[in-house]
Amino acid sequence: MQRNMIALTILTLIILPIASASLVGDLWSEFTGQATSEEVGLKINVTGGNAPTVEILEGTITDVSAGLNEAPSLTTVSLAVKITDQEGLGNINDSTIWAVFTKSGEETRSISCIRDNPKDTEYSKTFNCNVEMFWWDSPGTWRINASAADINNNYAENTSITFNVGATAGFTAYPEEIIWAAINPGATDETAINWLVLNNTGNIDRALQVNATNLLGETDNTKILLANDFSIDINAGCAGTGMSHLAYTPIAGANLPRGDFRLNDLSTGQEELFFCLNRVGQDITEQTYSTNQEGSWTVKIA
Amino acid sequence: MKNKIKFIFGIFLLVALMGNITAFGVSSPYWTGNPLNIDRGETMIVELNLQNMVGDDDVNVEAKLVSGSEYAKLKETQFLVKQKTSNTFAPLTIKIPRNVEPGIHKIKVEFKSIADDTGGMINVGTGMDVSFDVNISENFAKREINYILIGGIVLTILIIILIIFLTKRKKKKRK
Repeated sequence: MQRNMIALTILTLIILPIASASLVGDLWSEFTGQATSEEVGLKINVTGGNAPTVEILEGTITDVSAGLNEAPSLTTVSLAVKITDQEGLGNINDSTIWAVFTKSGEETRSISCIRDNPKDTEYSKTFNCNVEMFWWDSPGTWRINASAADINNNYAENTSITFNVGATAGFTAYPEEIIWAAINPGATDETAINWLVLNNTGNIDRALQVNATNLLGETDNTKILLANDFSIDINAGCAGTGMSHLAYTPIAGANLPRGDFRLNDLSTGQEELFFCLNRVGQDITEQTYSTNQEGSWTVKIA
Repeated sequence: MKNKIKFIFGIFLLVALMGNITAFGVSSPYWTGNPLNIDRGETMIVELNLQNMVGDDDVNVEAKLVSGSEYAKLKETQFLVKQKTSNTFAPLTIKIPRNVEPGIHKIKVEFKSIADDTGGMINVGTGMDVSFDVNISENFAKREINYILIGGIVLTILIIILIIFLTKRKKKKRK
């Protein structure tokens, strides 16, 4: 009996390592097709606890639904964010608090926020964020992304709040007067020696229209340069859109896009208008002709 | 040279080339593509905001309602927009009658600077259209209860009752 027990023990000691190490595993994988083992990668970040929470205090957001400032003024949109950390306010990393404004197709506007110490509580800090928006930022719904991290790099953000930007129409143009050097009676296609450069100071792309008046002689006002004899073009020359007396005429091809006109590339946020006097009557006499009596021409964005 | 027309010379030319048109801007909470949604019987005031952040001079601006006069009305039509300001408001009252059909109606206001005579050949002023759609819904606005009016009527009735009561009492005493 004792011999049998010894023999059984020895047999078990021989078989068990073999079976557990490969044989059973091989048989298992042979029958089931499943692996008996696989490598598993483990990555453990040891942090200082929970991520902070970010709350955008809605009542603090500057209302710009009526529109932004026209150029060259920027518009400051302010908001306050409250960062709470269960580990206490000392766990919040002040330098990581950001407010970012986004809208599809638009440049992102962002700022690092500044702590408002008097509003600290045991577990939270409040930060003020003053984001500057530019005059060409388009009207519509913008989303706020407020984010924060703690001293252990636990990151959190809040993108639940949006705000509306209104539309602003505005532009400047220079110079104040369009002038011709000297013109003979019966002349044709006389271009002005200067032209208008327009800057869009608002946030909407605009078409251009011009309302024209007659130019009456300042000494003899029976002599007239007719509004209908002028044309305006976006290129130098005399092939532009003919004007109509006391009526707004859309200028073909003229577009005043929104943008940073300070680039001064005559494209971004800018447009040029060239003036031509297509016909001069034969009866015109030597004197000064101007819009003084019928009133100025008006360039309008529509 | 006899028949030649001479318009501008020398120093005037230089000045003319340097000058800027006095310009202004108008902001609006509504624009083409972002309509004002409103119920039948509702009245709203849309504040159009005139700005003059660019120029160094005050600007006189004239406003004119071009479209939508059946529902919209400008309280004022002349505005002095001071330099470096953005807080001159042009209130536009939108009043929708209760019996109007629902639908979309266009409102367009034209703003124009009143240009000074600078003595040039063609003086150029600036203008801009501010337009948006008014989307009148099928809903009716709730009638607002005028508590002041009701209170006034009740008070008047009470005073009349009191006067009648006192008058009768006096008559009884005389008898």
